[in-house]
Amino acid sequence: MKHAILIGMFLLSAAGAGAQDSAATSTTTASSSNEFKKQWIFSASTMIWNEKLELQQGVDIFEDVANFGAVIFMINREFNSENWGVHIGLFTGMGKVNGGGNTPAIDYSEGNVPLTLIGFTPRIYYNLSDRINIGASAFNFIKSMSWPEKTGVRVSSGRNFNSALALDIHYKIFENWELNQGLGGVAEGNTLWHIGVNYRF
Amino acid sequence: MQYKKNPFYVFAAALAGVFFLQTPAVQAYPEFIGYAYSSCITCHYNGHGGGALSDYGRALFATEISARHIFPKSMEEEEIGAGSGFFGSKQPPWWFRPGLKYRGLWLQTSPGSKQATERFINMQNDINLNFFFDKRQNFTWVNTVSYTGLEPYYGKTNTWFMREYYLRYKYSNNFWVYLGQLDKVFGIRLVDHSSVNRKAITLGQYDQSQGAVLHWTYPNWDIAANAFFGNAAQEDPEKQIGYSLSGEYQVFEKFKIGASALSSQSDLEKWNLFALSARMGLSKGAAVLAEVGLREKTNLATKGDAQMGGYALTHAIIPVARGYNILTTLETSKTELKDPAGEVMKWSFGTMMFPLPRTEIRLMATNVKSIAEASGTYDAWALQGQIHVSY
Repeated sequence: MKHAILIGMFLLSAAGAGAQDSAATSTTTASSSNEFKKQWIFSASTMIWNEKLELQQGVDIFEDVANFGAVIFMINREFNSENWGVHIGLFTGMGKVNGGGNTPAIDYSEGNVPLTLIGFTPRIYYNLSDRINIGASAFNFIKSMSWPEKTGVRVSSGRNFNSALALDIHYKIFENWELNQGLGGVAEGNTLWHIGVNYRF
Repeated sequence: MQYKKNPFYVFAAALAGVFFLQTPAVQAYPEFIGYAYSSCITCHYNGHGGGALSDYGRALFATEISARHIFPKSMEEEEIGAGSGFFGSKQPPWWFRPGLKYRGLWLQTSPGSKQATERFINMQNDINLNFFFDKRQNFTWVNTVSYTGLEPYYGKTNTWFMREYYLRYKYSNNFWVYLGQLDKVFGIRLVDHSSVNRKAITLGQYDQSQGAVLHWTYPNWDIAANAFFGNAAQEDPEKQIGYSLSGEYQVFEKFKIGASALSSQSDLEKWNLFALSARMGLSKGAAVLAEVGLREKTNLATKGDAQMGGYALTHAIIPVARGYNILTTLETSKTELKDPAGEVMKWSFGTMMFPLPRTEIRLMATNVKSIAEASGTYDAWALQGQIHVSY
């Protein structure tokens, strides 16, 4: 229920932060000139995605699925102009992985396998309005995890270095706070979601 | 009916106390807070939304929500609004306002795979018959006669039924009373009845309930209390009898926070619900909504233990042009919080379009992820096309 916790955080922060930010919500994030403005953004998000899980027993190779879930913390440097901008972000995260259980020929399934991540994310966006921007993020990350061994079964899921492209939307909910949501695909063709909050400083 | 004290109530009461001291929940399409229409009573006869549109709601739909492709550029918005009545610009007598509502859904599951299925569902076929006993509409009798096709209405298919019927009494601009069968008051009333905060928690498209709603509404807050006794079409043992409270507080223009609580019980099931919600209008027409809730269900028929679950959703609408919007909804739910498995997450995204007056078209894709305890699960996909006609 990481998403629920994040949404709960949003609701509770809304109750407290709303009043003090009321006057500020009509201000714009984008510069009114064509010069780039720079800003730091810290974000906390959940990111979930799937990867193919390859199970090899002898010469037989079977394909299953692994579900990855992580909380990621990202620091971004933003460069924005009047209508568009870019972010360069570095992130680290931790989470867990479940996988297997869908291949009758091999009895292999695991849950709660620890996962750590480190990566970088360039993002380009366009301001649909002063409070909404829509963009594309390229998540590039190295994951560290190891599937528990089972006699006679060789297990692997994706590459340790992986990439995903996500289309995302950032909503400015208060002067310094944003909600981020993104949907895309990992290089192997499986879906990736992220949702979280951004804080500008 | 007895409600035992347990940690759920303590938690719910504490949070409700915090919010109700400041607070309150309401709206037309709730996402129209982006147009600064934050209260349902602006457009609907029901102060909590849903059901027939008022004259003002019809005009607003035609002049602000819908595209105006079919109208010449020279035509004024007032003229378009004036023609939005059931008989066009010809008004029915003051004591009567009819309406029609249709919603149809084309649904394809697992698109592109060998398991793909496809069907069309007539979700809603309503005839609204609204009568006023005085010109100020202090006393209003609202009726919605409906026809269900293959979707069973309490076990019956291909039949007519009374979806809602209630007397609305306007005591003052700040206090309204509703008596009859109508939707229960709780949370953000999204039109999508399959949302995690609707059908799954006894608030679906057929869960109208007989009872009374008292609704106090002020510019910055509103609060409603609802006592209900089940749907008339239900067998007595199935009727959920209970109460709910819901309210919203406007923190500042186009930003409302709310809280809701519901407790009800039939001979078969007992439900306790609590939710916090927020609705925020962003730029013109754009809005983001969020609701997070706890749901406790006890199966009394099997004398099972109470299952404490939870849900959350965010829902956003982003206008691209007048009448054309991006729509995205992210939902998560879990029937048992302490169960390491069982979380289901759904992301619906696509478009919500009003290309013609009285007409809405949605084209959506949904991606569903399920979390198992110790195995992987494949995503599920579906495509949806919806047409809504509000005449």
